[in-house]
Amino acid sequence: MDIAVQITLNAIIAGALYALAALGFNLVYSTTRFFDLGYGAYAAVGAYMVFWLYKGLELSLVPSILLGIIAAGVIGFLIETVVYRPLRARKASLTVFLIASLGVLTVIQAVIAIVFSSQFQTLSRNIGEIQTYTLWGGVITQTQVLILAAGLLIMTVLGFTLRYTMFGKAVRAVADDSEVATIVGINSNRIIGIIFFVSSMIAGLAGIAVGFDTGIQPTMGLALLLKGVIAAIIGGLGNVYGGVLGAFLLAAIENAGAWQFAGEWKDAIAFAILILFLLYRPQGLWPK
Amino acid sequence: MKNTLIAVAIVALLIVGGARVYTAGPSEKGPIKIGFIGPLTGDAASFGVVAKAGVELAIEEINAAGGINDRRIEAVYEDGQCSPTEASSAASKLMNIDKVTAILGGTCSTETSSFAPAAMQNKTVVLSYCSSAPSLSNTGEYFFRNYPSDLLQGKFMAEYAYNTLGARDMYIIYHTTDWGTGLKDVFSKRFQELGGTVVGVEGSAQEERDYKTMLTKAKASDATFIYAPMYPDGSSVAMKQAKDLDLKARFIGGDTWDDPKFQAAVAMLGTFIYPKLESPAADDFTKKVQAKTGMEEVVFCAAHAYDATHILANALSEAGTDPDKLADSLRATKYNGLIGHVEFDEHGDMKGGSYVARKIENGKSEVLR
Amino acid sequence: MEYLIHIAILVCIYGILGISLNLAVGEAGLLSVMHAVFYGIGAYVAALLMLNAEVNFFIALLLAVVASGFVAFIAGAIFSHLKDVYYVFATLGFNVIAFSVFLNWDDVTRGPLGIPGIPRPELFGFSFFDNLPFLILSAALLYLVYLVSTYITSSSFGRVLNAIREDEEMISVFGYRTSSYKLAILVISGALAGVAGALFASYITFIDPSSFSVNESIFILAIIILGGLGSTRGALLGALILIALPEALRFIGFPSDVAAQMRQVVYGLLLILLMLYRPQGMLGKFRM
Repeated sequence: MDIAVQITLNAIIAGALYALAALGFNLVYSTTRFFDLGYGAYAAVGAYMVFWLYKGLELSLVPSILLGIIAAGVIGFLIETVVYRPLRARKASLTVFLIASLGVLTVIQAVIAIVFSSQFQTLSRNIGEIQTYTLWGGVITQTQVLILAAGLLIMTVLGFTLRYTMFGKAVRAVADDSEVATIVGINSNRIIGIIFFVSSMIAGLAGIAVGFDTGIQPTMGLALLLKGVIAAIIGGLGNVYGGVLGAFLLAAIENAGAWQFAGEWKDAIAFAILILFLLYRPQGLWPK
Repeated sequence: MKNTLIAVAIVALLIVGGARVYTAGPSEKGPIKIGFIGPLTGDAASFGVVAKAGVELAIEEINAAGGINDRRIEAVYEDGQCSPTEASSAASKLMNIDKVTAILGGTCSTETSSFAPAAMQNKTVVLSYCSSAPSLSNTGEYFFRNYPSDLLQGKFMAEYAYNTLGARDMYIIYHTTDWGTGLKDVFSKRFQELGGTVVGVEGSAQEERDYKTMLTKAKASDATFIYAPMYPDGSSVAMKQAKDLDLKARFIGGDTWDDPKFQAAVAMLGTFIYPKLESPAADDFTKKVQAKTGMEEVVFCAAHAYDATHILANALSEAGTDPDKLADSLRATKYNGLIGHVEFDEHGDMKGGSYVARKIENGKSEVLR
Repeated sequence: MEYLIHIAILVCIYGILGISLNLAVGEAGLLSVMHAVFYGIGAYVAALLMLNAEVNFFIALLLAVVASGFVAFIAGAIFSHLKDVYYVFATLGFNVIAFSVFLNWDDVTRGPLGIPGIPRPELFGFSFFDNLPFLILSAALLYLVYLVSTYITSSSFGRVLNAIREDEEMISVFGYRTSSYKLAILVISGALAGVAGALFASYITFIDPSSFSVNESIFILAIIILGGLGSTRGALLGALILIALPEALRFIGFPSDVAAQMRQVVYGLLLILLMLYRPQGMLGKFRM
């Protein structure tokens, strides 16, 4: 088999997951300018919801996934209403948001661990029977293809909505300046609530995707979130398309690095890339 | 200033209050107290939780049979979280507040390395049921472990691979914990001493879930065998990804693969070989632990912890709670339990254990002859 | 009593960590998430010197301080010009990379196997082997660090730092080279963390990379946020509460398998509530 092809496929698969993480994250950032660490927790919520429904209650696949995504969206929306909105009302600084969101992540992860135990679980009901496809000498599974398709679909829909619909324009108005937007008659709080709902749903999907591809654990959210953040920064914070491209670029460099050097340094490589971008190109590759 | 005073007062009250409640020392009557340290939460929680279940099962049996010289035995369970700070606080509480006679623990070598020196100073017997770091052999005269140091397992697998499986080239993929790193080092050295070649070595964090590129490298090296001392969760994911990549090399692993959850997960993925201490079958025990914890996973520490409790109880009934006498009695142990025959050498290390190779096929594990 | 001494020693160590981090975060407004790196460097340097070169603890301590200070200098030189959230992520990335080094540079650090058998301090024949003398030593070092901190905060240097925290642009207009001030305080902050590292190594007599991860940095940050940013006494109070309270929780009959998760829940809720109702922490002067 061709090693280069397989490594490229590995990068594409990993990139698809990071892209899902980056998409939702960018959505929130572009409207509120705030890094929500709780995003990682919504991903875990989505994944565990599916775990409970699909594996626990033995519901069928599609309804479980839909409910999982909605559950994640609802949690994100609730957190926004209860925790972040009061902070926004008194113009709290970004640092305050960051720390509050850290609290959110910690609590949600711990509650999941209490309810479901910290054990690693898989979402798929039958390992070993997953369909694989061979592409130019490299292998990719059906699940991974679906994740890729989902990521590209969401990116397209999101990009389209933000640019061409009234709702999208309202979102961009709030992103520019939420006070002015309110004056003009846009209900900023409602828009932001919707944004959180949507982005948390995407987070949930990302978590579910990881769950089907590898597995779930209460602490799964943070790792996914960090990769999403790095991808978003590389691609250009706030730029939906940029985040996706950044995700693939990150995955490519990570896998190339793991190929060249030893696998132990994978995390270090990812963060070294982040630091390089922060130092030399903080606006990312495709600034808004 | 007032806030400070109030906060300090509350915290102090909590601690002193707590300490007051537990100042009763070890007495001649009343239950014998032993301590348990293991990771009950955090990444390694599954190990600690099943080990705790093993201890609980053993204690139930011992008390049902009359206890130790008519005294009940009780355990105080503390969370070590596989962290030096937590483990050392846990041990301090167990020794100074609960005044335990002995400590069963820790699971992780990092836990044991952190509190054992203090326990030696305090003359508290420590019996670790799962710590494998070679450096623990020098801990002290009150230290014992019924889990062999990595030196034994790594050497066994290297020799088995070279002599029995005929392996001459080997790729190694391991988890970068003390257990995995220790095994990687010992195996690698022994395999090369015998004449084999180690074609490549890749490590990853225990929590890693994307092994694809490492496995791709292994595939590219055309190694016939891969030694994979990895924990069960990472292993199940890695094996699945290996199958997806159509990796033909044969996998041999570590004793962590003696876990029903892992064996079920890889049921359709091929045949796997791993070492285990020679011992009688223990299906019944596995089911009891699963019932107690509510988890499918029963990692190997459970059986070791169960045996360790019995070994300790036997020594206690023979020698009483005096640390020196207890230590001497432990040193003279000859016990046959779930993990086979146990004796301790002058360092407190387990001797007398011998490994056998087992293979996993179709979700079941059986001994290879 | 011994148990209380043990807790007190830990409070001293984390007190030093809190006070030193406060100098960078509370006084100068540099929200760093990499303090565990300097803590770790101090610990490893001290441990290796005492074990391999049979250096006396007190000399090892000084060299550890120099080493941590030096690494802090490098980090500061590279990162301190980054703004706000970019700075936060860069420092986080630095912590991840440093952790990888601690973990994978086997030849020096023994990686995950850690370094056991670190001796307790000795001075002119007097040994600090017992815990009570060690506590006195720790308390003495804590007091020294406290003095250094109060000296800085009450000096004109400290006032410039506060001004940088409040409005860096404005103060640089007045001719202050803010980058030098920031670098200086980062070096001091890192160097003092090295003191804690050396103490920790000698107390537990065993160190391994797990004590110096990003989670540890976040924990130290939580200590000073709780205690109050910009307050040296606040840092001490935060350390006291975050070390002693979880220990006290051992005595409440939480079923042991959820005890630490409950601790996480309390900890996360604490962060959220603090940000909502008292972002300056208990004794802080700096309202984020």
